[in-house]
Amino acid sequence: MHLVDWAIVGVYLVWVIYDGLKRTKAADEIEGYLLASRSLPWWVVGLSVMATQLSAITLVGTTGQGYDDGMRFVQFYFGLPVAMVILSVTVVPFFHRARVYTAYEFLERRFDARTRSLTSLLFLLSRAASCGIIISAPAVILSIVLGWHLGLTVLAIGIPTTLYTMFGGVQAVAWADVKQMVVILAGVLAAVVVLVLGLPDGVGLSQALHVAGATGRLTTVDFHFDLTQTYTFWSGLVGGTFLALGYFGCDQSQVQRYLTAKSIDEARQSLLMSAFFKIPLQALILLTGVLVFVFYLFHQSPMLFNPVHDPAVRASGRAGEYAELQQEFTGAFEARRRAAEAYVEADRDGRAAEEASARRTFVSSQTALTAIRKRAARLVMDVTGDREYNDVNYVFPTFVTTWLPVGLVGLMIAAIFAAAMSSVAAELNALSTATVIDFYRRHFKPDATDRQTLLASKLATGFWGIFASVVAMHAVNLGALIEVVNKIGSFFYGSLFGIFLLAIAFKRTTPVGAFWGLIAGMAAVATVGLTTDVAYLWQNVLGTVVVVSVGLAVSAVTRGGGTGRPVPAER
Amino acid sequence: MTDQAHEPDTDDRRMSRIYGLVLVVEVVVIAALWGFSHYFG
Repeated sequence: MHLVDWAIVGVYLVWVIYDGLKRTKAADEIEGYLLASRSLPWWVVGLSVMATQLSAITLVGTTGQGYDDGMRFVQFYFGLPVAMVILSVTVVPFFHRARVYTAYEFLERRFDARTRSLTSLLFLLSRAASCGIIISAPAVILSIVLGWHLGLTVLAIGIPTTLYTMFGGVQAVAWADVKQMVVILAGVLAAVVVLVLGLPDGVGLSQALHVAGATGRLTTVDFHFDLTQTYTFWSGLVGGTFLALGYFGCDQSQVQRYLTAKSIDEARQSLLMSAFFKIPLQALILLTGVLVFVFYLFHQSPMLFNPVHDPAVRASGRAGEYAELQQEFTGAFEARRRAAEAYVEADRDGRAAEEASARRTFVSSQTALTAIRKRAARLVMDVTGDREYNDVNYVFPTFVTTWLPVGLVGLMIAAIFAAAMSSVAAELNALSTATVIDFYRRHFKPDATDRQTLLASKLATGFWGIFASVVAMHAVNLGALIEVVNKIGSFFYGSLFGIFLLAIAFKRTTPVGAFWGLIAGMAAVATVGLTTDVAYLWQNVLGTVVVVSVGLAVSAVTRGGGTGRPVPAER
Repeated sequence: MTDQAHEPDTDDRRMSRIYGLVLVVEVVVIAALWGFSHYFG
């Protein structure tokens, strides 16, 4: 990387910390530190909500997905606008009027301390692990692509994020998120411009899109109904709605964002910002990946984008076979390039018969190239003993460091850092709040003064920052566990939303009913997740339905057993 | 703990219009994506 790019990344990191802390006001009071004294304007909160959700895994993984599989993943977000409207009407006014610090605090007022502690504990367990992975994934990629030591990339993300979250609280997080969203958007738009300008002479954007479309990469809406297929219109709209209801309505890392808003309507508008812009933004990021695919039709790409296994393979007994594959790949690449050029020419000239034939030739050359990549990946797995090999997350960073001009490389690397830091900061902030409000001040020191609570919050932020960084350094060896953590997250949200639905929409729910409904919901999702092929988006629907059904049934049997009486409000 | 009396009233009519707009925009965006994939696919 050029010195200018290093300077851009360095200036960005210093700017985020300095400006985040400078904008922090009243952070010496607990409500100021944890909830910005409920004073932030809707657009700041809205950008913070979007930045929290857009992690580096999303930025790097989604572009990789666009390259490899196309735009069908955009359907994952179809339920989000619907969920935002439902949340704006239901939980947002409840949380704001209840003046709570955490979403789970509300559950004690409605049910009992047991339900609050269980849901908050589930949040802490699931988020503490995922926070480490949110740091780990981009840190591993950046360390390989930039040639840095893994520990250095982990610390480059972990230390500044922990510092500004620890000292500035939620205000520093929110204002940093605003800047990070600007950097991310600028980076993505710059990449799109470079990709379009990088098309060869005679290949316009329209021809480029036709070429991508021939491989199925521009399929965005699939109305086919199949419970085992991950991304369809129906799984996105129905399952995605329940997932978004759980994530934005019950996950402290998101709830805490809109609890900082000035009023109920400002909190609502902050969520509705995502409702308007999330699908177009994700479509743009996926399209960027598709354009990277088109770019690599005309410019030589590596056979495999993750180079980390290369030395091991070249030193193994199958090095010759790998070299032959490499040669075969180069030949197949040339054949595909010629086929793509022929298809573009036929498309541009509007010769229908030739166009259909050129399209078939191009598609089969793409299939041949994909088959060689698969054989190479299998060879790598044989040599290394790994159970899987996936290089989609390396596609975009490889493109950035190989093809972007000086200056833009720094901007894009800063954007990847920004995406990681904005998500991690929100998680640390939320983990600290849940730890202090739901456990420290609820169970261990109920008479804690604001000053003691503030100190505990800062210490908790520091602790979770160190914990996440340590997990991140070790997560590189825990491939299978990463999958486990993702699965835990997916069965958590539907069930959690079910509990809040019982709390808000069903007045006759008893504390016992709510507690056992939650247990039953998670058990049902875990069973279905482990024993069937049902796509994970549908598991969110299942979790909500089981929690509500079992919760209501147990409530009907135990009615009169629980008080449902609200506990006194927290200071 | 601050009391709830100062919580400004919400403008329900305005918010309802925004909710409607969100859903209309979503339908338009999905239709545009569908048209995009059919035109170039």
